[in-house]
Amino acid sequence: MFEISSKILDYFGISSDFSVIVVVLVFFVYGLFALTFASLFAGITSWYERRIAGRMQSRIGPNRVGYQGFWQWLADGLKCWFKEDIIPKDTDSVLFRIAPYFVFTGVLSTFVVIPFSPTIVGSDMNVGLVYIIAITALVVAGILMAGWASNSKWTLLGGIRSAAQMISYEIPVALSLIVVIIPAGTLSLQKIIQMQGGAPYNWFIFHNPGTFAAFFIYFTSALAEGNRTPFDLPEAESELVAGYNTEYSGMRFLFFLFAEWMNLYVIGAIATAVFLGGWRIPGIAYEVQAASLWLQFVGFIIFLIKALLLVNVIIWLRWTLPRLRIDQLMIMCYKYLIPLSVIMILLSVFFTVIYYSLPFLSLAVRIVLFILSLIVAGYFGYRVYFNIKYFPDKTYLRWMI
Amino acid sequence: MSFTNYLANIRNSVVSIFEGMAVTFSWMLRRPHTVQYPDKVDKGHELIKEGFRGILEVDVSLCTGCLACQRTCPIGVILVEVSKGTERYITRFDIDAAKCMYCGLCTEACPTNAIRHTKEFAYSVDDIRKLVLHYIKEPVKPYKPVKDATPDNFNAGRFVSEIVKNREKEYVEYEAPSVKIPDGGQTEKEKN
Repeated sequence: MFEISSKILDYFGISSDFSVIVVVLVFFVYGLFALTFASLFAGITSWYERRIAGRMQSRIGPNRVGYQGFWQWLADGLKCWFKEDIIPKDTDSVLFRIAPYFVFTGVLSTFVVIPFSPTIVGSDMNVGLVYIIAITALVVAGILMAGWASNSKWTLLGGIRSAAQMISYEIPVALSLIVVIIPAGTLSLQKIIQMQGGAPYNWFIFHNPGTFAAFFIYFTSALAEGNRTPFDLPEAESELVAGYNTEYSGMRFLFFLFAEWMNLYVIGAIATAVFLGGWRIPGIAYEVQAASLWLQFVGFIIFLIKALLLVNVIIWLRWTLPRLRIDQLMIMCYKYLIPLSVIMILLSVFFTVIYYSLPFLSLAVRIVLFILSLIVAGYFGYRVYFNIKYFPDKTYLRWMI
Repeated sequence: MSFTNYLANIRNSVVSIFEGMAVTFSWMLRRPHTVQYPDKVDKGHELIKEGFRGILEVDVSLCTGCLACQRTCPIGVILVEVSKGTERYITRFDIDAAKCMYCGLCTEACPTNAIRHTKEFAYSVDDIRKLVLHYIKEPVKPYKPVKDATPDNFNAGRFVSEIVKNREKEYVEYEAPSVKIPDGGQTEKEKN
């Protein structure tokens, strides 16, 4: 952003006395862009997820408002906007009012370091990943605040569960990111993307077996940290009415949902940036891409496609797996994910050291891992085909929207 | 928990998630079971299976005026009036569709199959009194059953009543399996 503002200063010939104003303006515009992007994403995902859920459960889903129900998210938003903002009598009124904005800010703040293209990024911090892990703690505070201030046992239980879960799962998230930080040697998201190649076998996910497993560990624990199914215990409808947002209504309630759906993109974007090569285009060097505006745009699209694919997987998982029990959740974190990610860190250290003396091994391991994952993907396709072909009821096999 | 157990847990979770996701994905490639009524289908009648109990319908030309349906109806939905005299006439056959609970007892009692369920299910009106269906506009002579009926000289009554009789026989012959109470199988109240 500082580069862009200095370019603007040069282009219009403004003296450097006004540089503060220009910098503030540029940051303001970028903030608006990030906010709009995140809100649009959250809104459209709310409709898209319900459509996908419908199809997976052999239903249709919302299809009334506009083409295929596309404007459903606007209708829902308008509805929540016009609803009465109820604040129950015995609540801690101040905490109750500000809690949704804490959650919203906590998720939106991660957009500061999430890159869109080589130069379009809020701030390319040298501690980017640490910043992300730190700022998402604000979400815990907000949720706990909401749970406490609502003065209801369901919300309090939901809030406490959420706090326990998110604090526990921040450990495997951080540990699995360290697995990549070791070969990358940096915490800055842009630098990490820069170190990866455009072609799939140059991504950090295929760098060594450690990072390959770390991707799945990160993905699982990020789901848990973002309160998504199968780890959505804070909002378990069957046990707690709706968890920490039971007492909320109207726009405040919507802010919680906004944060939840924005978090989908955050999970996808961090996984894309750290493991899946980010905005790199195959066969084009970083310097060339950074210089050209069009290539930056292509990089933005590539980044978006990868992130949205991961968002799809998250939605797909939500409608596949049942919810875990609270003790199973904690067992999974402390007995499985944390020890495994520590082992992956050791593996990653081992391979990183070995690659220095045996460079050819690096390429061999990358290609072997890439081919292995292609085989797994192929087998997955076969299983889908098998499920369709050998299902007794052939009536519903045609596509219909 | 042994180490092999630990590894088996990891393997099981990975395999089951893999298989589960393949199943849900295969369902995503299928057509939904849900039918978009009334967008895609006008009436929906062709989708309804045989034996559906919709709104009741009376074929007045088959009605014998026996009042069997009126008597069987548990909640008094049906009102039949037959004029007395040398010539019998059915002067009234009303069905209150708002009250009907679609038990289907009247259709089983009817000897000629004059009263039966249709596949009609959508009949909302602005006034509940419009749901009282008057099937007789002017007095009608009752139907006289034909003796020694074959499928050619159609006599629905005999055919249906045989089915009902057979059913009744089945019910009589069916014996409930005797349930043995194990020794000491008393309820808590009896113990006390």
